[in-house]
Amino acid sequence: MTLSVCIAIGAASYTDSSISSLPGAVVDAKGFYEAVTDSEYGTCDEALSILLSDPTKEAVRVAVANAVLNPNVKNLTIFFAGHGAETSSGYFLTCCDTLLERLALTGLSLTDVFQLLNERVGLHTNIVLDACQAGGVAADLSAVTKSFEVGVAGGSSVSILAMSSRNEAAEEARDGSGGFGTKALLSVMRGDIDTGKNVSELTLADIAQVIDVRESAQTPSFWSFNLQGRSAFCKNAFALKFREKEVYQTPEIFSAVQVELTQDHREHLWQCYLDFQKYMNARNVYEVISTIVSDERYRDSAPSILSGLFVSFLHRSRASDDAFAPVVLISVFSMLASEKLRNGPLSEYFVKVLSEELESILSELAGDLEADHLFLVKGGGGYSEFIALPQRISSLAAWSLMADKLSVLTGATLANSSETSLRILAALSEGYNGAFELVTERQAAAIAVISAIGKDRAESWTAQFIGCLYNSFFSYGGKVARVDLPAEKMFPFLKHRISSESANFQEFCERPSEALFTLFAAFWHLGLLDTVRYDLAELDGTVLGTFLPNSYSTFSEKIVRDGTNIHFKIGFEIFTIEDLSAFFEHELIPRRAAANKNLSDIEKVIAACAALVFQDRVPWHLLELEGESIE
Amino acid sequence: MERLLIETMINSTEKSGQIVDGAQKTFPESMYEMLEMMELPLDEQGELSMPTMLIHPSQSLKLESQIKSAGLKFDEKLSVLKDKKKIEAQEREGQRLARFERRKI
Repeated sequence: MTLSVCIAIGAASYTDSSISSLPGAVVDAKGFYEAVTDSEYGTCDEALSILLSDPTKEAVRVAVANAVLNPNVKNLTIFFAGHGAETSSGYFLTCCDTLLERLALTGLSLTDVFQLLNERVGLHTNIVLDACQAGGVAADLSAVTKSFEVGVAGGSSVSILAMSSRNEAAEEARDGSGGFGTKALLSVMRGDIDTGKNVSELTLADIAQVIDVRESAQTPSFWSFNLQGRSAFCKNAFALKFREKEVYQTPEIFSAVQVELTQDHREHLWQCYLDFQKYMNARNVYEVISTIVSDERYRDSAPSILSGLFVSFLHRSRASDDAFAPVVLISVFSMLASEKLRNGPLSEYFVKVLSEELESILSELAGDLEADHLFLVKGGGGYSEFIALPQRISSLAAWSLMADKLSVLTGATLANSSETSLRILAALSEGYNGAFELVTERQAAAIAVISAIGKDRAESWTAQFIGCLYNSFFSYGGKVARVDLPAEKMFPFLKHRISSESANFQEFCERPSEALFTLFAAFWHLGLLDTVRYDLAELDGTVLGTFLPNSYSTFSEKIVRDGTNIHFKIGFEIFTIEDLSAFFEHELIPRRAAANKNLSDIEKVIAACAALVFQDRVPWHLLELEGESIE
Repeated sequence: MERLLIETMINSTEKSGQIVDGAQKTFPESMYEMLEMMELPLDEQGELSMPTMLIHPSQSLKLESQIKSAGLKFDEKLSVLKDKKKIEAQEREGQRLARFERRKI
């Protein structure tokens, strides 16, 4: 038997007369308690959950200890409404016996709570703080996560939602109806606000993403570090009420075993978590987490570690400057679940979340693109846009088409997905046609996705796009940046690109060219090879090639070891479009078919995501011929 | 690596009969015979692309002096061969380029 339990604390009155009373705090705690124990909204056991009105510090400690020591409790939610203050000693919550002059001694600190939580293994704790300066817990959280003896580093798993930042007051309504933060929280829990998720149960991170306390100028913040597995906070009332058919269960993956990472793993993980707020290095995230979940010592806990970290990292990625960071992050977790853990239910769950995330991001982006024809270059970095913008357009078009395919594949039946995809493609044609260019070999993956999926979804747009990229290859004398060209060489490359020199394959360009190979394959796939019939003489001596893996089981690895490089030189093996067709039919397709063998639809999608995320491999498995559709 | 490459080349050319036995001949004679046997390509400027010869350093002075002593007659003979090889290469290149499809005007 596994239970979810709540301790709702409302600290309204204080023995220390210098601490002002907060009548709304008890109202908040009561409202929260009722919601989490109501079977319509909450998941907490009513008999074991406790409502503490104006408790002493000791009463809170005893209540937490009792919950922690009950072996059946797997999820503990601690809600606190009252005063909070950050001092040089840390962040403290006030109980009825707290003395303002002796806050460090009489106040309740997060470290106190973590010491109690550390008594238990296999427990996830959600902490909700509707108190002033609640963002101040960040410092405490940072400290405890670095300590091996205390808190999450020792194995506990925790998510914290603070209703105000460290320099803000948490205000309550003057009519006594409670704090603005709690009211906003309850409106999400009761289904008044749509989180956009279709999972049956929400995590605290899902709530944090949509909670709105602008009315009182508060800025909620959320932290999570979770190694035990995905943990439900409440039911998804909105989705269950308004689109029940689309609601799906999340795989129940929660480790009953305490996960104790080595110091080395902990440090890498924590550093990786902190680093990617502004810029996400997908390869680094992949490698760090892959090392952990592939470690034999965590074999039994690996699915829990992955599903738990997913909640933490996904929320973190939303703070990135890059709107696509969550999409990239979910893709990375999908690859790890599929290829490292071979966990079908977890892979499928991640792909569903990816589908929802893409739909959400792309819908917003479609509106932005339609409203502002310069949206994609806002805040652009000068000359770097000559390289970045064409790549951004290719990626955006590819992800848009992927989203359309994903929604069908996952059965999410997101009615707007196809429409959103077409809106984005139309906006790109209208505002950015001049930047439909082939500038780097890194566009090969997107070209393959666009031609494979676009053939059925948006054939004329796809033909136009492929045609523009192909023409730009000639316009710049075949000067396309190599896939691994470092950032500091981009400007010299741009100067080289517009010069009259021949392509410099030593320094800037790549031979064989995979991007041009992919463009020719796209023409072939679209039945448009005839349009390039007379161009091959002009490409005399050009070497084209690509890599095909033997299977897609390790396609997201940095180096895919088993596979074949196929290539040809125009004017030697290939002279005509008939030669090209024969090459694709006899060299590309049989190898693609062999690698596709036994590949599930979910695995195909994940391999395509790997190509779009890492951009140094081409998802040939998507190139399906007539009658081969995965749908 | 270089040694392996040369060994492989020797084995391969022996098998295909592309060996000039220079034991009884002067170096210029051997070189001429070798060039006569070869199918020489054109470079990017349309000129004949001559092969690179690998010569042991201990032999280089001796071979250079043999080429000098071969005199003008040998130079003329070699020049005629090069012209012939260039024409052959141009013909082959023409045939190769003719395999491309071109718009009929």
